[in-house]
Amino acid sequence: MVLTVLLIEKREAVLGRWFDSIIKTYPPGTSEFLAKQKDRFRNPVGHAIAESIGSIYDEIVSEMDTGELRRALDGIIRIRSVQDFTASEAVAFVFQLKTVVREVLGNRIDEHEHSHELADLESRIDQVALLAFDKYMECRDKLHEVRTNEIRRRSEILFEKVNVGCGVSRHEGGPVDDGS
Amino acid sequence: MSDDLAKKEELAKIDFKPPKKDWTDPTIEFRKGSFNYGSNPKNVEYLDLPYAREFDPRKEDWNLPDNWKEIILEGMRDRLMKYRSFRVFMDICVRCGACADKCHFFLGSGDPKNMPVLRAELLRSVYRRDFSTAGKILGKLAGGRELTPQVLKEWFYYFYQCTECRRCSVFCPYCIDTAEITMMARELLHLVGIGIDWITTPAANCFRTGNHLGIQPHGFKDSVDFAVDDLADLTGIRVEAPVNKKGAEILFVVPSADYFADPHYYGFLGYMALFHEIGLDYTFSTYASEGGNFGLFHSSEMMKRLNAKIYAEARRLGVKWIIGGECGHMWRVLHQYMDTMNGPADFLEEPISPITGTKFENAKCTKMVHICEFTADLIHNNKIKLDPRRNDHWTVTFHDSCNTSRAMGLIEEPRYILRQTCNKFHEMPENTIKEQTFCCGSGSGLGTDENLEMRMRGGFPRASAVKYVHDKHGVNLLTCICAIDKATLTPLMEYWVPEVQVGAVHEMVGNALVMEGETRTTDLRSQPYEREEVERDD
Ligand code: SF4
Ligand code: SF4
Repeated sequence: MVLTVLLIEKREAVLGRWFDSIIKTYPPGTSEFLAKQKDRFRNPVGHAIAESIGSIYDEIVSEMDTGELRRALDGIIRIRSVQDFTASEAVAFVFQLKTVVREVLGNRIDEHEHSHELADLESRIDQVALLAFDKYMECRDKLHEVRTNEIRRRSEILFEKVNVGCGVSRHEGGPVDDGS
Repeated sequence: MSDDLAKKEELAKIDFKPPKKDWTDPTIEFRKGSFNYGSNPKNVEYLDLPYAREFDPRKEDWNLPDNWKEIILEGMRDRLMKYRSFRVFMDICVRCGACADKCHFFLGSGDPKNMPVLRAELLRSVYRRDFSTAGKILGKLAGGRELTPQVLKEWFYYFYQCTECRRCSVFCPYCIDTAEITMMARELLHLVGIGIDWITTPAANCFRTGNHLGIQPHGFKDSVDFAVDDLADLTGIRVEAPVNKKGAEILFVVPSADYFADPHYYGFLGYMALFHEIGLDYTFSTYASEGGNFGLFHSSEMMKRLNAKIYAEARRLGVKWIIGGECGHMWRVLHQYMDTMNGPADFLEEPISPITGTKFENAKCTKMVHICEFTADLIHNNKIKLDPRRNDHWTVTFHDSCNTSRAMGLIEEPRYILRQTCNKFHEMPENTIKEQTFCCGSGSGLGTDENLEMRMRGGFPRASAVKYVHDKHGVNLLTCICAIDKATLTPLMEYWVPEVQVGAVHEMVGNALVMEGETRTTDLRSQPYEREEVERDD
């Protein structure tokens, strides 16, 4: 059987295992919760991960549409970009799919018969990983932009139009003249 | 490219699982983006608080006073005696876990110490060891922990990852309020000079000039005059906005962000247009130029000091009663503490709307009415003319701020106003609004730029519900009645749902309000109305 057919047939099993491997990157109590709670508003991170990897997987086994992949990656990477992960930890889940596929398909993978398709699958996963890096960088850039805009907005009307009084400065880790 | 490919093979070998850590281990890594800077010692001194010093959370040595441990334990003993609720909260938690997954910081960060039950346990474990009989004898076996500098650092880290939003308490069968535990922990930390600057500096400014930014009276007057000019440009009507007018009927107190920050300002224009239209006899005060009270996030004593100006100014100006603007924590203080702290306000009259004659029975004690109650009553009694089509360019949803919903039960009034002023209004899912509302993730003094990653985590549950109504109904405006929300939901949306902007409920009122003699073609943001015919058709 061609590998793609197998991958489609085993979609739920692969996604389940992939999901499990991702939530294990969180501390024990948390990963249990992320897996169990099904209400999307009570478990927004778990929901976003599940939805996101479903769409990523569907693209990997079909068109590899870059736009769709970017959108799907956004759901999970935007979260991991602000959580307590380094850049590599934030995107490493993509590579895990390689292991997961082998684990789920087990001996239904015939290294010989599927060697070309396997190489193709792995290269697709690699491409997704590169897109994931881009997405991570995009999210981190966005965060810097958000930070800058916030500082500007905080005092825009004040500084532009108003005769400011004393003491608007704040402490940024070192001694600061508060203007008084 | 080939380098990238080589690297990712290595990446695939990473052990993804975090190390298993016992929760009693207090070691903290202060990672950039997830903590707040320490207080400016100058302002600590200004407020007459102890142990003012340079303090950088990332440094190993926090320069604690020699007897820091005695100070903290003594402080804890005092508070256990003074506040019965604190003692009860320390004793009665049965660890049922009902609160565990209700905190937005836990949901967004995945850090188990953000489960309210564990957050409280950080303090409770010390209580158990040093104050409970079992703990004194059994120590660790009874769940006790020794108070060490590491534990203190852990308190600093996690009690400044609680926005005191009280969502967890809604679900606790014993009504344990983790927010109050956080308040106690912060008070204890202040005893040894540990605090964050985003609270201390605004509090010091507020103490000096009456508002968080340190704007002096002439600056305040300028900003009101500036808003009057703006409103004249937008509507063709020059309103009066009296400042320090003795003998006015009503004192109007707003959070300072209303007159200097975006998007608060449009709501400020809305208030002024409304008051003009109904001919309200009111005044601003240059000293009560801030309803917000960062003292609430500091200590009960500080909250009391900063709140005192409101009644003092009401007395000085000789008003009859007070209206308060759109602000969350300001209302928590006014509603829950002001009367006992700085009352009784027996020199004021029971509030009666001069326009409708409605008696605000609920404000009998404090003599202070929420602007949404006041406006909803005007609309209900048909006292103002509204054209909701002027808000047709907005598809609106409403975020309940933690304080107005959970602390004062102000749930229906803003919704009533929005339904009367906007044609397109959609609620977010039920388990994310009203009493169950999700916090913005930046309240209680945590809204700093250095803490942005943490705020984005904490705000994610809220953002995800907004995204849902954006995708489903095309919502493009998130309205709210809290100054901190307006400031912090804006960056939150920018990161998570950039198509959605943030606005004030009274911005919607100001847009829809049909004013006598007006010449308007735009909304309060100077954006043209969606449809030509929206202009007055009478
Ligand atoms: S819900 Fe209440 S009793 Fe249960 S663990 Fe949380 S604080 Fe304790
Ligand atoms: S009060 Fe709010 S922020 Fe604090 S622990 Fe409870 S839910 Fe979390």
